[in-house]
Amino acid sequence: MQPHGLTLLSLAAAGAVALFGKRRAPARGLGVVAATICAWYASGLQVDKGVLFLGELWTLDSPGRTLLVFLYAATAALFAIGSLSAREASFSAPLLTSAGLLSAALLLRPSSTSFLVLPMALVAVVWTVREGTPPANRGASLFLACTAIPALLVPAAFTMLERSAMSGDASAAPEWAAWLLLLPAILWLTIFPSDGALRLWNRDQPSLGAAYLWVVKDVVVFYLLLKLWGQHPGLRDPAVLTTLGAVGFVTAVYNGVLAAAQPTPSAVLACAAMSALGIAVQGLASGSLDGVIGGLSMLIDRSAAVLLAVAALGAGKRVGARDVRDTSPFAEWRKWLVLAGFAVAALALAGAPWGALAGRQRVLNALEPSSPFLLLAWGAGSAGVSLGLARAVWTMWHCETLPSRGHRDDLLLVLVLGLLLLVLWVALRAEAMDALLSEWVSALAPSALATSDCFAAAPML
Amino acid sequence: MLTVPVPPSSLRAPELLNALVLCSALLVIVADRPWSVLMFLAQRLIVIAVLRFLLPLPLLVSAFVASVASVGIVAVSEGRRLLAERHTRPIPGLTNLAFRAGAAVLGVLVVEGLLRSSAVGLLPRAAAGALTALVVCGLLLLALADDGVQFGMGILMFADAGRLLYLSFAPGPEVWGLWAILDVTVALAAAHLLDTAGPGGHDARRPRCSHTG
Repeated sequence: MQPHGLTLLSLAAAGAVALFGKRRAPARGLGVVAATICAWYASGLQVDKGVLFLGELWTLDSPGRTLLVFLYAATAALFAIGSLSAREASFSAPLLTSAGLLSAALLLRPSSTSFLVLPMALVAVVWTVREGTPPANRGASLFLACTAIPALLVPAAFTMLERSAMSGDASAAPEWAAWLLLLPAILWLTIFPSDGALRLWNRDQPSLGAAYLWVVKDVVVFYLLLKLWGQHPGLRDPAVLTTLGAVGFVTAVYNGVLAAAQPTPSAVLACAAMSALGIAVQGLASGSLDGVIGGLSMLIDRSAAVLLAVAALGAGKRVGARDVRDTSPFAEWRKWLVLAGFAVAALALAGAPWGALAGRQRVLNALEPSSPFLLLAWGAGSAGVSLGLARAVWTMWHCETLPSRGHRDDLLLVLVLGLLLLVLWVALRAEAMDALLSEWVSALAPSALATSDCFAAAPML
Repeated sequence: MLTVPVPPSSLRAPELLNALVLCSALLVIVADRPWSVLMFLAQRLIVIAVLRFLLPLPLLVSAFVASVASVGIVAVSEGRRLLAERHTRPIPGLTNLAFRAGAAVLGVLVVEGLLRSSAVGLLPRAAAGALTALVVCGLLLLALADDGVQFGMGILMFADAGRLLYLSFAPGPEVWGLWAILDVTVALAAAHLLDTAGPGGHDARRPRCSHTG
């Protein structure tokens, strides 16, 4: 199995799904099957065996393979949720295209090429926007601008790095390159001020496009940044990392507090997801092993929680709300399951013990363990998410239901239950997850975190 | 200290610079009209004209094809919307036109001001002028955008600025190729957003309720 074969397979599957796009049922099934096959293909890829294709070296390390399997497995789960809950199948082809391009960015060594493929993968997600959702359209337009424009800075940064490496003068070029790459990092992570784009995109309805970005994209961007820092340690400029951490802090607190004022459950989910991402970015920017592992742990918990929340919201309209016509003995249980699923997911994002609490603790240890102010600020964000959640549950409880579609709705409920158990299982296995992530980060960038002392002088938020 | 190589002399052509500034400013004014695509085409062709002496032929051809293709995609999308909404589409008012004209004048003043200051002193005047005009007018276009195509045109103005900037850095053909693909991808995404915006674009009334799909 060749590394570039995964990208080609994914793009070919996207083409096949697009051809069947008019017929909804085959496209839905094909999406799930294609993503599952890609996950299986990725798990069989050989590590550290480079292949030249299109003039570029395609190679894979062990953490990269784990990430590729995660990428396609999470995409398959999203497709399953979308197939059972959405009205249209328009999401499969763009998301498979995006996953294929993301896999290309992971398989190429960090360079101008891989960092120009990344925005293409993100732009492809815009095709998931459906007709008749003006806020989503506006949010996707803003996201398009935030994703494409930073690509302008990428070749400049890499040209500087290459010239500095060739001339042997590494005095100022890495610092310039680090500042040039800061804006792309902020905008591709969609943290403040670009967080509004995804909030808008997800405001009226749970969008699979936005969910895909939260579940998959952020982990990939983290991986690419860590790999880049491993390859060019000079890019870990303390001032740049402090700025990135500050932006993460603003994202975490601002979005958390804003969640209290959101009118719909989807908007509350968006705010909670962005708030958790802000804290994870603070962990990444801390530059210490503890912070990075804490941030990654939060991202994994967040991915599971977002999947659960999207599934619960998808089921909510059909089976989760109050339905006076349904007299079956299971009606009450269905309603409670959906509401519990959404509540558990939102609270996990807000830092509940079954969610991102362990990750938060690690990030806090890496930043300012003795200062109460950071904890208070994060607490304000969590309180905002909890208030927004209470309002969202009230709305879901009193929303009118649509007619049931029989077994399809039952399958969606089974999926909600499975994801609920997954979130709780991940929480119970927090120590094993920490060990796994420590191994993962050490294999990914052994040099990237070895010099964490160099950040000690920089003020960290 | 950062050093930027001096671009060749064709970037100093004042006529091209003036035409580019004029086109970019006019594009800001008429961006909400269907025929703004013509202005966008003119602006992109001027950038290609600037590039024609500086790039090897294969790279120039790829940049030209990507530029024209992206304008074509935007034009087709605008044309489809025009046909679909020919009886219902609201005509932008004169107040909006005056506001946009004011923004364009402000943009030209900002470009002139930046050129007179030392903020862009690393580049020769003409190159700096072209870059500044594209970036400032692109930002104005994005700030005033109310549909996907206007966002797309704003982003593609930044892409053109990137083309001019990277003449100095002389990146490899794979970067130019990816740049061209990204150009077309952005145009396609913008066209999709215009197609799915529905009547009235982003300002259309929100659905009455619902938190689910």
